[in-house]
Formats: sequence, structure tokens, C-alpha cells
Amino acid sequence: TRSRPGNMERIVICLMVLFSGTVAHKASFQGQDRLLIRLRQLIDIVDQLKNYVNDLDSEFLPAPEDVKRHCERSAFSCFQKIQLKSANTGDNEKIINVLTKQLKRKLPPTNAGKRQKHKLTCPSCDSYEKKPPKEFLERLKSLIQKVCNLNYI
Amino acid sequence: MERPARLCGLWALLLCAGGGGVAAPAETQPPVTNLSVSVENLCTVTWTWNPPEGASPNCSLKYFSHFGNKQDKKIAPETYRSKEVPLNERICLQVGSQCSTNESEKPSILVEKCISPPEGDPESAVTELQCIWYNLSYMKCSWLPGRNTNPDTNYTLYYWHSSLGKVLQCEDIYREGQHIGCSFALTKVKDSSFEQHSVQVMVKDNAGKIRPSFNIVPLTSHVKPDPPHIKNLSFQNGDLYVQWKNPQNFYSRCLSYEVEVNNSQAETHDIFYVEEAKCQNSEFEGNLEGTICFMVPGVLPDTLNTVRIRVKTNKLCYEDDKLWSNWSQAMSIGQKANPTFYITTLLIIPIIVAAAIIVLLLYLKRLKIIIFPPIPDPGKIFKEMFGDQNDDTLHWKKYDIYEKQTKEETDSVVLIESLKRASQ
Repeated sequence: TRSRPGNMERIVICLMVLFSGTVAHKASFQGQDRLLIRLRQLIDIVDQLKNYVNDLDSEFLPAPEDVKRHCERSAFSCFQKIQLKSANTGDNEKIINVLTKQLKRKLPPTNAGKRQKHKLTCPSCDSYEKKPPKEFLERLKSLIQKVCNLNYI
Repeated sequence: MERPARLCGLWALLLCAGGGGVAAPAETQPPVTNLSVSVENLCTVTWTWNPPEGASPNCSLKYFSHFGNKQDKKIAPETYRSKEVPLNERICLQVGSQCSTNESEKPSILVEKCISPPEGDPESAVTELQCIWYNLSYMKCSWLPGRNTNPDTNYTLYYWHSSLGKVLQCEDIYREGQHIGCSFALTKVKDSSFEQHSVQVMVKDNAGKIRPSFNIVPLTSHVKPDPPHIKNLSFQNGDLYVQWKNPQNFYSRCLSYEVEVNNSQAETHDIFYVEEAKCQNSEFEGNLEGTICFMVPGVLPDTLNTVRIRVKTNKLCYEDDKLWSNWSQAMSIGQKANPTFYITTLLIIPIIVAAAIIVLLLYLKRLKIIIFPPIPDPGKIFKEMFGDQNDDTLHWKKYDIYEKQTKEETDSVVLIESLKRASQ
């Protein structure tokens, strides 16, 4: 009577491993798809924010450029940390807040993304040059376009 | 008596401190010195300056700079500033010093230094200088000669980008009608940490009489891919599946597609704009080789359909998406209506011929008489009339012959009538 539950457990574990194996393979493929979808959305958001650049607070913000290899995710998180503020209240303020909220959403993880260097080896956000909002948005767009052009994401 | 004195002293201290505190923010640094400008490569303009004399000792100097119309503001500790500028117009930089990177801080008095385009009449410079990067392999620039220039002028194109050590000359010059152009090799250095940002281009003439023209081409735009190759067309579940291979050097995620389907019978012409396309059984996206699939809805399978595809760079990876590639080679699928028609006619003809032969065999004798009627022979008649000198016999024979002839004639008439009845 003791061996039976043991066998059942083993079968269940095996089935779970197989199932998770198939799901994981599909998930890794989908992870990249989800990332690309998100990056497309981000480009649209940046383009929309560019239309409101005159309404943004003209504070200088750290804007990474010429990002080191494998530090792209870290640089992107520096862009995300910044809170783009609206300089004046009004209708545009709401739109700007909605767009900046969408910018801050976490990027979907991918296998390659997990292998990226830990933030310690990448430059800190403060070490990057500070630029006004217009250049900030342009550099963010350039970073996204650069990432999409790589063979690892 | 001491208390008022102490209070006075305290007040005095406070006032002094307050005064000092108020005075400090209003004090700006002295302006920078020795502001100069130089040009490297073709269009890299660098302004350099020296720190101001007599700056506050506690101040860690930062420099505030901007171009005309307060564009491109920058605050940084370096004593130089570099920018890639096409030197077709005058450009000026204003520099001031301050103590922090806070842009709300008021900088010193701004010093300005300008740089003008090279010597020459502005009208003589070439116009419409534009460049296109073909398939990330070679770049072609074209221009129109300037006004008031000698038609025999020999132009030379110089180019530079950050992966080159020095400025190179373009060798492959060609003429296309009014336009003159030049083509040079240009490839993307893969995964280099040092990115090529733009190509600087300069056109001038060999004699040095015209003013040089400049253009800076960003390497994320003006890209024209080669056309794709259609690999396979197939029908599955009533839908047309198109499978093609993208031009080399491009990731499928970086391209947008246009699929054109022409139906010759229905004379329809549909164009489908596709943002993302993928084959269900494709491998990891990092693999450049691989095919792209697209399903075209609403296609009639029994008619001739011709498919063509073209691609362009999209905004996910490139700055602009205006340049379409040329159309790919067309590929067709579907049956022509004509072959079936020809096949059926080819089958019917032998049947008709066979039937005709059978009919001929059945009615051979009758047809033969119809087709080949007995030819009356006057020579014979006259011979029997006049050849034999026996009048009686001739006389009698004459009637015999007439009888015979009438008999034959009636026979013929009977035959035809009976044939007619038979065919009815």
C-alpha cells in the first residue's frame, strides 16, 4: 500500500515537468513577442509626448546616449525613473500624465534580458548627461530603435 | 546697559549674514575666455574655451551653452562642445559659466563665436544634395549643379563617418540626365560598441570655384531595402498563403510589408499593408534567414492570381519609413479557365470525326451518287446517233437512249427523294 501513492506522485511530477517544459518553450517565444509589442507601443508613446514637449517642465533630465553593450535595459530603466512633469495645468496635463504612466510600465522579461549584466557593472543613472525634455525623448526613442536592431534583446 | 549692545550686535550679525546670503546667489561668474572654433573631418565643428579668470574658489565650474535661438541647451563641465553641422549656413554658439548643473541658475555673460560656410558664391553650390542607403550595402548621393556654373565642371564627393580613419573620396561618379551622382560602399559594422551615427558628405568641384555643399545623413534613415523573394504560394483551407524571404541584412521585425494580389479573371487588384508577419513554424527571431508568411483572405482558387511584395523599414528600428523597395518578382497560382476549354474542345473533335466517318460508311453509295453524280456523256449519245449509218436502228436507238436516260433520271430523282426521306 505504501508504494502506490509513491508511484502516483512520481507520475504526477513527471507530467508536471513535461507540461511546464512545453509551456516554458512557448513562453520564451511569446516573451520576445510581448517585448516587441511593448516596444512598438513605447515608440508611439514617445512620438505622442514629443507633440507636448512645449508643455513639459524644462528641467534637465539624465538622458543616456551611446549606451554600452548589454547595458540597454539598465539605461532604459534610467529613462523610466524620470517623472516627466507638465509645466502648466490644463487639458494637456492629463494626457501627459497618462502617457508618462504608460512609459513607466515594466518591460516584459526575455531570456536574453535576464542574462544582461547586473546594474552594478553598468553606469549609474546619474553618470549620464542631462538634457532638456526634447532631447530626452529623442534619446529614449534612439535607445528603443537601437535595441530592436540588435540580435539579442 | 549690556543687553541692548548685545542685541545690537546680534542684529548686526544677522543683517550681515542675511545680506551675505542674499548677495551670494546674485553673484554670477565671470565669462569664459579664448572661445575659438575649429572644424574636423568634414562637418564636425568643435568650440573650445578656457575657464574664466577670477571665478569663485568654491565654485565647481560648469558651462552653459546653446546655439542661436536658444536651441540645444547643454550644461556640462567640459571646456569644449562638438556638433555635426552641415556648413551650408552660418552657425553660432553662446557659452557662459555657472556653478551647478541646475539650469535655473543664471549663468555668466554669454560669449558668442560663429563659423561661416567656406568661401564661394552661395548660388554656385550644388543643390538638392540627397543620399540614399541601398540595402545597408552602398550609399548613392545625387545632386543638381548650382546656378551660373560651367556645364563642364567636374565634381568630387567626399565622405566620412566615425568608423573611417580619414575622409575618403568617392570614385564611382555617374550622370543621370540633369542629376549627377556618386556611389560608395557603406556597411553597418555589426554589434560594434562604437556606433556609426551619420555619414558626412561634401560635394565640391575640382577647380575650387564653387562653394562646397554639405549634407549629414543619419544612418537610421534614408534606407532603401532590396526587393524580397517570393518562395512559395499555396492554398490551404480556401486561403492563399504567401511565403517569402526578406532581403539580407534586415530583421523581419524591422520591416513593414505590402502584398499585392492581382486576379486576371475578376480583374481585381488588392493591396494589403502588413505590419508584422511571421511563419508559425519559424525559429528564434534572431535568425536572419527564414521566411515570412502572410495569409491573403478572399481569394478564388480556380482563377489565376499573381502576387508581388515590397518592403520598407519601419519605425521600430529606423527613424523614417518613407522609402519602399522595388516590387519583387511576381509569382502566380491558380488554374487558368482556358486550359479546360481547350481540353474539352480537343476531346469533342475526334468524336465528331468518328461520327462523320460512321455516317459516311453507312450512306456511302447514296452519298457517292450525291457527291459524284453520273456525268452525262454527249459523245456517246451522238456516236450512237450518227456513228452507226443504219437509220432505223439509229432511230429506234434514239428512243431507246431517251428511255434509258429518262429512266436514269427518274431513278436519280427517286434516289434523292428516298435519301431525303431517310435523313428526315
